[in-house]
Amino acid sequence: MILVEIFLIAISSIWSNKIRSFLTMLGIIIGISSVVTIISLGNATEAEITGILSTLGVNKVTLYYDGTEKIRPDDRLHYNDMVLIMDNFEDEVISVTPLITMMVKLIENVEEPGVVFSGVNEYSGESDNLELIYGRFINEFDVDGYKKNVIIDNELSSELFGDIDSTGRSILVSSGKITSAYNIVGVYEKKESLFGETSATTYVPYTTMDMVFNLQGELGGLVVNFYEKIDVTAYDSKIVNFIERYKGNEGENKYATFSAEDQIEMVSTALATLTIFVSAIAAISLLVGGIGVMNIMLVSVTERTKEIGIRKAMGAQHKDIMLQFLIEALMISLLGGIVGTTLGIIFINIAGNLMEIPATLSIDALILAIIFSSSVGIFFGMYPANKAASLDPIEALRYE
Amino acid sequence: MLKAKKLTKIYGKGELSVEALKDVDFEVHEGEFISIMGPSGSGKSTLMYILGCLDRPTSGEYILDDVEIQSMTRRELAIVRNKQIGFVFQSYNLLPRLSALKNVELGMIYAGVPADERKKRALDVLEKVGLADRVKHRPNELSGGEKQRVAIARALANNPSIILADEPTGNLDSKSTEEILEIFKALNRDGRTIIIVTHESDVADITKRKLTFKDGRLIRDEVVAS
Ligand SMILES: Nc1ncnc2c1ncn2[C@@H]1O[C@H](COP(=O)(O)OP(=O)(O)O)[C@@H](O)[C@H]1O
Ligand SMILES: [Mg+2]
Repeated sequence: MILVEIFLIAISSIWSNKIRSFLTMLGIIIGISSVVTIISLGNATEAEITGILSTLGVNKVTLYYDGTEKIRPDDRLHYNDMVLIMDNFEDEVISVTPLITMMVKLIENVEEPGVVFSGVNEYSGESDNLELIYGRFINEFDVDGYKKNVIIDNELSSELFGDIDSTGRSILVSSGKITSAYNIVGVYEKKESLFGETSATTYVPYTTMDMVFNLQGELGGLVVNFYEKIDVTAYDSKIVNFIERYKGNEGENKYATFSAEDQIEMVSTALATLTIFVSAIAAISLLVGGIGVMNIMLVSVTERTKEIGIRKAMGAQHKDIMLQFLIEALMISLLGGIVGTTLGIIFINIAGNLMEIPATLSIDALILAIIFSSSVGIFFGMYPANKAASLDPIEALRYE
Repeated sequence: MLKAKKLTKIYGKGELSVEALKDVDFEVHEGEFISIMGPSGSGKSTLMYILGCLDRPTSGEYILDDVEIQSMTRRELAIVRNKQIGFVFQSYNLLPRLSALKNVELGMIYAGVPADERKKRALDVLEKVGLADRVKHRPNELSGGEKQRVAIARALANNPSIILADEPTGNLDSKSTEEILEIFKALNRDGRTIIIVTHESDVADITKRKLTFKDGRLIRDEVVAS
């Protein structure tokens, strides 16, 4: 009950010094709003990127050439490497899919005739997370029969034929000297890419591509698809070692791997570093804010020396005076925390709109804001409050 | 009810020390009305601070209601100030941001009196000092005499065993002084023990006993013929 009264005294004291109290809060407002913003945006970005990367298919490892090393003909990846990996890792690997892409030109009336030819096998649709809207994906008969069948995306289909369903129609494709017709056997849904607008990708059997471009079985890379329960991060080096042993180029760093898991880890690490950096700045502004609180509380104690003397003469105990000033410091920094959090919510919304990600105040940010601002208040309010409570009543009464 | 035995107070240390009180002995019984006189610097305020438990004597004994005060802790002294002492100062010492009512409630807040009873008692004592129509006023909206009446009401609020007033009329004109003295007289008629410090003899004349101080010593203790 005394606590309620002491609380009211603190509030009225803050209120009677509105402008000064607000200025004192600035450091805390800045500190808390940046903590809240950074943590919330960090969480939102991580969730967003993790979401996008996982649509790329999480449980696979892409093997390709390391761009910094010279690749000799013996180092090149081949069709039969896919079979070798399949056989050697049969308990872990569902399928291996080829990576071959070439730019080709559509001999059709389209705004952007350059499209990507991507050579695939019957497992690639699943591996690439393709969503077929019409028709079917490339199957093993297409692959074995060197069929000139093609899968295109819905946007290209609409542009070419004014209809998303273009199965059964054909397109003319020029691959340099040769121009041939390809039958459209399926239409897939084009997904938003992490990298913005890219050329339309069309899928053809890799055997067909090999024949048309005379690639002699060479691949640009390959994708190893693992069963769900396998942790792929443990397997990327095993795959590389296996291929190196087979090619006889152990330790020469001819190959590199990529997996969504590695990417997610990289993004998380980068975000964590950024968070630490900005948190350090926030911590400094909280420290400055806390010193501001201490400073203003010391001024307040001096200004109210007489009041303290009167209260003591009326029977206020050490703890009563201590609490009065401590609560005042706590209220100032908590109010700063509330304003800072509100400001943070505004920042989060603005940044979320700019970055086009769904960002909201995260609970851990809110909890941190409350803990930070109240501990700053208590920590930096302690010394002035103790100073006030320890004043000698007579000296305080004499103070003018 | 109050006993001072060889009370001595020395301010400071070494060469610069001041002996503000020297071997002061006296006793006060319940219901007494006492004035303390003496020239400036004779130790009157020092004595009042010790009697009011705002300070401790350097040596000697101070017994209030059969309890030894000189050896009490800071916390115990605060409780005695709160419950047993009503202090009235020359310069009123009201909190400027609070209304008369809230000022009177101050001591009761620290005594833990519940809000509704606090208000009732505060209104009661304000009425007793004739300020029923000024309860919402802040100190800067009151005259000197009214401020001192608020201070007396505040001193009475926790029903203390003794009222200590250090030159309560020192800042007041003669009309206000008259009013304040009437209040003290009325309080004493109701049995309240009162000690007033003053250097005006007409103030001392309304009391029943006069203590005179000089250089920290009690030099005269006389009953006033009325
Ligand atoms: N805090 C203090 N420190 C040092 N000397 C003091 C202090 N307070 C009072 N004195 C000295 O003690 C003596 C008595 O002072 P005081 O009790 O205020 O006298 P009075 O109230 O009778 O005028 C004076 O000489 C005064 O200067
Ligand atoms: Mg004096």
